[in-house]
Amino acid sequence: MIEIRDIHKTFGHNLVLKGVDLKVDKGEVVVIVGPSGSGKTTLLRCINFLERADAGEISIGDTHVAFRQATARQVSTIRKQTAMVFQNYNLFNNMTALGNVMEGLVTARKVPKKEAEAVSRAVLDQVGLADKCDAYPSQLSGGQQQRVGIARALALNPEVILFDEPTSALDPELVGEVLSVMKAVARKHITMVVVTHEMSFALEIASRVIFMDGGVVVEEGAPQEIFLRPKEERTRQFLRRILPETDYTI
Amino acid sequence: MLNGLFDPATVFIYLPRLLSKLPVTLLIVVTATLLGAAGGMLLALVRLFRTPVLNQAAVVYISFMRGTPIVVQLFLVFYGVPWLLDHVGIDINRWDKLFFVILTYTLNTAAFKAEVFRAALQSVPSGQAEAAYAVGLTRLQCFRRIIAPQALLIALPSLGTGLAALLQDTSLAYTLGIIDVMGQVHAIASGTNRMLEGYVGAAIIFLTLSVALEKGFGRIEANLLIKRHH
Amino acid sequence: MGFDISFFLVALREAIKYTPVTLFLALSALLVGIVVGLGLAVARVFQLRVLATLSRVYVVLIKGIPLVIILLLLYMTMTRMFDDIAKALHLTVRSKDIDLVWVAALALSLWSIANIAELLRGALLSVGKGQYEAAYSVGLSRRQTLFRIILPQAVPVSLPMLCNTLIGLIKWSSIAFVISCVDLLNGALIAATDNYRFLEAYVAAALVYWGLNLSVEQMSHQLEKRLTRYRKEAIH
Repeated sequence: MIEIRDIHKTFGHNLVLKGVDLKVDKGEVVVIVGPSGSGKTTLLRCINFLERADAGEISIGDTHVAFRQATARQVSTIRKQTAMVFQNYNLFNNMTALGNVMEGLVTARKVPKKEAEAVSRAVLDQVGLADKCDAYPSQLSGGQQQRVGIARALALNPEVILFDEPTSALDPELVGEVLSVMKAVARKHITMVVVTHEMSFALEIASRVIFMDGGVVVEEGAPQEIFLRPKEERTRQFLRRILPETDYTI
Repeated sequence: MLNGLFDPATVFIYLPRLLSKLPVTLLIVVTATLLGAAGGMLLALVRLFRTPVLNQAAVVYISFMRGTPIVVQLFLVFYGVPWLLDHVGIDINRWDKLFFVILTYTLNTAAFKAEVFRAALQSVPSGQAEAAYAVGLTRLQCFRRIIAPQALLIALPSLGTGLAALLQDTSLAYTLGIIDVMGQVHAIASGTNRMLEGYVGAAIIFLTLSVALEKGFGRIEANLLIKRHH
Repeated sequence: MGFDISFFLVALREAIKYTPVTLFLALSALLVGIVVGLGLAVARVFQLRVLATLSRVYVVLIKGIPLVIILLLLYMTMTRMFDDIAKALHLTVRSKDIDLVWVAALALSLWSIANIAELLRGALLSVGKGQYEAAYSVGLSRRQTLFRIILPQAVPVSLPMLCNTLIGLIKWSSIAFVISCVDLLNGALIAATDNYRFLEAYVAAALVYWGLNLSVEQMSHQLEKRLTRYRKEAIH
């Protein structure tokens, strides 16, 4: 389980997160939606300490820390319980697909090489890339790269996987393969927090949808509630703008 | 022990006398930069248009100039040019040494600038030239009004570093007996035991100039970029 | 006065004979530059406060002061101060016993540290921020990120520039002649002191320098090809 209380983050004079609470139970798939600049990506990056939040606390598993006071050791402990899938994939360019997936296991967690390789091959198989183990990122399509990115996160077997707009850098025809891998992951009851604009994914897979705007959570609930019976005017406005495009895919 | 070694006051006594020879250093830098830029542009065009024979000659010339030390080039020009001209009956043995120094730095600068210009000209997208021809500009007009201004902006940072490098390189002109800033150190301090102070004075002058140069170029670049974005 | 081919060949032989001195000067400075320069570059990229500032000031100083002045300053302080210090420490070694090659190597090293620090900083920054973030996100420490992810990508980027630095060092090592250190250039010149055939000597030296630098360039191309295997053509 992961719990965040009252997280604040400012960039310069720009208040990006103004006290957000987030609680995710084990096996839950939480989808965060909202207009750009609403702070959803920053929230994910703060959870993984890629940004240092100004205030608030986080607990993951047995670790409880205040964002500001977290020591290097605590940061490392939290990072080991979380994994991130990036918008731009961010695969290690100097390593093969297999090397990418093994890196966290071997170097960070000191898992013996043989064991790590077996695990890594298994997850690459799971995302349908068993035959691409030896390919370098430059030899893979965007969709394939992102599937390796998901495999890299899965291999670490973290408490939660954070997805930061995993399909928004992809060509439209490649979105499907990544979404179906994500759906397969969700069905295995792996805890996921997903920032995305893919409403069909949210509707089909999410246990809960959170709508963020202006650095706060405006509304949250089951996907049908949020999408079909939104209570807040701001949510309705956002959906009016975004849903016509996705009508076809629902 | 250290008192006898280095006397800061002497540095300040030397500074005005060193500065009085700064015009010689600047003359070398400015002349070589202007003539070198012209020569470099010529070489770059020869390379870009792949003019037969001239292109190969330019490649060899540029490679030699970039592959040998500037000190060696100074003396090669000093001994070699009169020797070559002697064969066609021109005697320039008595010409001022400054002529040979400026010639060397010009030849050297041209080689380095040629590569900078070539890269910059090549980096202007070919669509720019096509668009210029499409609106009826001639080849020369297209080069002068469309390609060159864009290439110059791209080349500007390299031109800045080139100028700084040239300034550093001129510190070797004294080996030929030129009385510029470095030459003046030897002229006023050799034979005394105050050479160290002279070198420190020269170091201060060069350091100040190069920092000013960097700031200046940074500002020019920023200004040009702003103009372009508005 | 014609061009004396046979003396040119004598000078060429002398130049080649002393080439190892030139190579020693350039390569030792390159090595020192890589080790110390990498430290300074990392300090600046990871924003280690004191060291980053120190590194910035150092680069400005070395880039602003001509190398020949640095060399002469070192030479003068060495010859003046060394004997005093040696006397004070009751050592029998005197400055005249020190091979001037070491003074030249020191000056070149100071220069190469500044150059390499700058180019490595650029290379480290050229590896996108995403690579650092991905490394942290799978739990790598800063040191692991640097050595396993960033450097393997930054090194191929910096190789052509490092080869340029080596070429620069080979060329700049020629100023060792101002402190009468016998290297490639001085070897050729000494051969000419009896007959004043300096043109032949300078041509000989120039050709050897040129040859050396062309080989470095060739090597650079080969290395670059080998080290960027992972950036093969994309096959979609």
